[in-house]
Amino acid sequence: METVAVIFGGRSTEHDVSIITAIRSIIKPLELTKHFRVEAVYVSKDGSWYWDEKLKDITLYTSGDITGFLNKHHTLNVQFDGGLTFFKTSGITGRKTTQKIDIVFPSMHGTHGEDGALMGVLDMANVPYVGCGVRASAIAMDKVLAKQVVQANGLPVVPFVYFTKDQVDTEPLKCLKIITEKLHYPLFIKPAHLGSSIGISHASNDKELQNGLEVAVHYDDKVIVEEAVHNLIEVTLPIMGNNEPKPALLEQPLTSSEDFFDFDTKYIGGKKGGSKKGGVKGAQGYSQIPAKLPKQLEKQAFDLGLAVYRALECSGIARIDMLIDEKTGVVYFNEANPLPGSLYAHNWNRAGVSNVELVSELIRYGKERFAIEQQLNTTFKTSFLQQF
Amino acid sequence: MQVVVQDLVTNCDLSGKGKLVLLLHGWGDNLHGLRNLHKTLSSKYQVLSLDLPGFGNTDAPTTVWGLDEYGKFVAALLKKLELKQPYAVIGHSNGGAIAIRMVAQGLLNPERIILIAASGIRSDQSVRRLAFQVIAKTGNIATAWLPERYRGVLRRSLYGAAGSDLYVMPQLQETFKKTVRQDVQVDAEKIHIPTLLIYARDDDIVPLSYGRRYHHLINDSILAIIESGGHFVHQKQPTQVLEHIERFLA
Amino acid sequence: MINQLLSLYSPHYPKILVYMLQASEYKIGPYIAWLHRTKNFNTVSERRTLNLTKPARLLLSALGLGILAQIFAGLLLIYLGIWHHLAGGIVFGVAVLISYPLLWPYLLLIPLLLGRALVDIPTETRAAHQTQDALAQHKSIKIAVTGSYGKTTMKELLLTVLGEGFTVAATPGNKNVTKSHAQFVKGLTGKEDILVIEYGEGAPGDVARFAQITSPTHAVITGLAPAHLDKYKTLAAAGKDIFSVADYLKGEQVYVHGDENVQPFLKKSYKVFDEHSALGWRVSDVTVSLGGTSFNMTKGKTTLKLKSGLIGAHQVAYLSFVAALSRELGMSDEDIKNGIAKTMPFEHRMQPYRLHGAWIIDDTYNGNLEGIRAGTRLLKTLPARRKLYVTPGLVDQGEETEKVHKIIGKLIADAKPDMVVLMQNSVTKYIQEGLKGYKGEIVLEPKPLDFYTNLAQFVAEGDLVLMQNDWPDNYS
Repeated sequence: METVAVIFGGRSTEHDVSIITAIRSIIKPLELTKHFRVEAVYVSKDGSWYWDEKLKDITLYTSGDITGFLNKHHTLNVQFDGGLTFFKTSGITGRKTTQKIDIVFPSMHGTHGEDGALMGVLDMANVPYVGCGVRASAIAMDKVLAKQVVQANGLPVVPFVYFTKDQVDTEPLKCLKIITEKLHYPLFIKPAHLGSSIGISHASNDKELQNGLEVAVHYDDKVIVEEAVHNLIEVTLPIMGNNEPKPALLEQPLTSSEDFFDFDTKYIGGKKGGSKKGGVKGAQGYSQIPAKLPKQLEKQAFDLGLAVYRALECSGIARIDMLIDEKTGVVYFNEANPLPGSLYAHNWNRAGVSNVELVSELIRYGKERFAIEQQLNTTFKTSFLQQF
Repeated sequence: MQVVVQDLVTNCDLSGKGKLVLLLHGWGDNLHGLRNLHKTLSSKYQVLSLDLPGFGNTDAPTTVWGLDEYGKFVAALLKKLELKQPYAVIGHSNGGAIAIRMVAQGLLNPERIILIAASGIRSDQSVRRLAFQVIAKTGNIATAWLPERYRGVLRRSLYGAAGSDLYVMPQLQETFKKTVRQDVQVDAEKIHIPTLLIYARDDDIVPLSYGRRYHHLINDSILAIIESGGHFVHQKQPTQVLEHIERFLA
Repeated sequence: MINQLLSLYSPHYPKILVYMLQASEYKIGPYIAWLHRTKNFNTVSERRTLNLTKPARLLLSALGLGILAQIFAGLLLIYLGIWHHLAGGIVFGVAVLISYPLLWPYLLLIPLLLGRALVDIPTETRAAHQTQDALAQHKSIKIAVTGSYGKTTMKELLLTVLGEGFTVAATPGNKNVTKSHAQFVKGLTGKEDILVIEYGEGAPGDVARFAQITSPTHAVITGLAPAHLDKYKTLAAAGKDIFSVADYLKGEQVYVHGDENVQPFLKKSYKVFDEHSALGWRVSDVTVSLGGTSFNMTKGKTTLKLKSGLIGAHQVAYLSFVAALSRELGMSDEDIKNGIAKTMPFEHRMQPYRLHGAWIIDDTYNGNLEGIRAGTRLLKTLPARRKLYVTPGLVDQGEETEKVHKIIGKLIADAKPDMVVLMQNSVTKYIQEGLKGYKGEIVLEPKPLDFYTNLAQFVAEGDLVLMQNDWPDNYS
């Protein structure tokens, strides 16, 4: 039996969401496969790592008992022994427990996890892991970089500009000028690296734009400003696989009067996305699966999603968000999520992939990519050292 | 809508057209608590409601705040949004106390004031009751002897669903203590603007006697007594409360 | 080993003993056998727990008092041994003290037998007399339903379809013992046109006795299969008992579902029905979907086009018989059509529902080979992206166990599901032998409850899952 370490929690704003993804959508089905031994690794909000069987219990977090639990337990020790081995000493006797990890299933959303930071550690450890690699994760989690890469591949993105926090703080008027010259209202202002909808503003005039910029740099050191799409249909497409990516179904989030998703709709009960007509309630409030689109647009969206997945060099799993102008029939890339919340299992289920199949497949893709990477020649014989 | 005010990301809701009406929510509440007023009034007025710092989706203050700091913050928000002095301010509970303090200090210069179950009177009895509330809400003293896991449960049950920020943010506990100890009776005496006082007879958090006291202190005031509805009378008896408000503002 | 020993002294031990007795339906033989088979008593009631009925409560208190008395006696002996130098007091005391878990499983039978002799048997006899008198006076058509399988289905179908044209009453639930018959009779108004009475066969002589008590005018024998063979020992004995109701009716108005096992018992006067014909009607055009089963019945120039909510071609034999009998009893074609349309799957019997976009067919109350035959046949015919078959196997198969389960394995393999989930137990190996040559995935599940509660994790849109049989603890 292989051992899978599921790493979740972390120092991002999406700490809580990550716990749910790990416990409900990854650990549970992985254990049900009976093919894997699952080790739970929880990264607390202060960045300490813990490894314990009890961390698989959701009530530990919902009851708030987690604080007491962490006080009583030691943090995780790891051995980088050409792979990854966990060890801990427990009890008065100091008995040492070790566990060799065969594959890691990262379940982190947002900064210090989904953005490639964790993947870097795992690459260094030479252990296979599920999902996108360092490069894809880092690019996808930077809304500016992702759009630049996609654009460079000749794929459509909404017109955008970006600034550093320093630029916004020191020369706000210059930023404003650049924006109003290059883009047309209405606009969206977003922190470049944050997930969810935190810090996102909508602006129809200079005043709102200025306020939006201030809010965005409050959260991030880089902001992106982009034109809003008219006659908007928002769709998202979960995709999995390595060289031959396989899409799930196009999903259309159902929002009400709000111009965009806020954090509450996205993760807490979806009360604002209350329209129930034909929609299902998934990880992201209510949505329509499959999205009701004309055949032509549907095909365009599938093609763009898959093309973006390849352009960003995604592997394992990702979710591609797209914006459709219903009138002009143009489909734009919006953003990519290397680890969709709850793996977007509700969508995969509709596409005929059960939760158990989904995690099994993702493990398989993780191992496949690792095997390919191992075959690459990464060491070269040199006589460099001999000259000393 | 979000804006940055005093370096705090502030969540507010500005809608409607006409003369400006400012809504201030009470302790532990947020702008959703006044949503029905906001919605109805925005058909005739421009209405601004906000999450006060530490509540809803607005960042918490980084230092200990009292009514004065909240007042200055609200004034700064108005400036940030480039809004003129409001035609009217409506404050519920602690929001009422903030409104009284702001007007007395000249931070706010409205033509009308509406105070719904406004607090801000600190008698011996009220200090005792509030002391209990502080304990209940912060939960530290009463539950110190309990193991952590039970304390959490107890605090949640005492404090209810009003907002869990209180016991995770120590600085807010101090802010609470500071705020509820502040008496605004002297400030109320300085008000000479038409004021509508709305109190429910069965309010057991801020009693009707406060309404009578304010009625006595504010010379141009009307006291509207609603028979039942408790402390959140504007939610329990929206029709009656709105009727009073709309007539008063017209 | 230590755990097994400790389980004897667990505070739950008395409760577990009473549970085992209850789960064995207070039958002493199976209870003792189960007792001897059990090594760790803590693992006995994993899937179900004691239902605190009145008899269970009485037994539990008798057991508790007995155990307490024995512990007290042991302690007293030890006390006397230590302080009053009673010879051997300590040794005996300890022996008495620790032996209670060994004695009481058996001593528990004393209050049970006492209760049976003093309360149950007299009550039952009285109840039988009351039933007999009341039914003898009742002027209605009385249809007895008996057989090794399908009795409850047949009874419900008769009730539903005949109910469209007549006032019908039927024995409740799947309770079919003397006591419930008595209760059923008490609830009658006397104005019923038809009574449907289900006979539960348990031991040789039961059916004949029921016939005496209920004086039926018609009898329906739903089929014969190697079930309940623990008591009957052979299929022949079971058949003899079941067909004794036909003898009571002197062979008149006896309707028999003509499966392969009834053949030796058939007489000329019996009317035999099956999925091709019933009472002179020819059945054709059977189509099955998850929404129900439709079929045509033709006799002479009359054709009835019927559709039932029940699922599976195997249902057609019963449905067409019920339709034909209803017509014979004078119902209109329209009423029959409506009646058949009203027949819906019963709980846990070929009952379809949706889960995560998948179709689950819940047939967990089914408990015989015929049901498995029907189920696997349905699984084979219905289209699906992926098919799963779930079963623990069958109980009550006596000496036939190995043979029956090899057949089950073959039937499953023939249905070609993508995955077979077997709840692991003593018959699993036979099913696996029968599955030889099957190409799909076989999953052995040691914790059935784990699987059932997490079913949603295993399925997705387009899946079809057939779950057959529940495996009670006492056969594990």
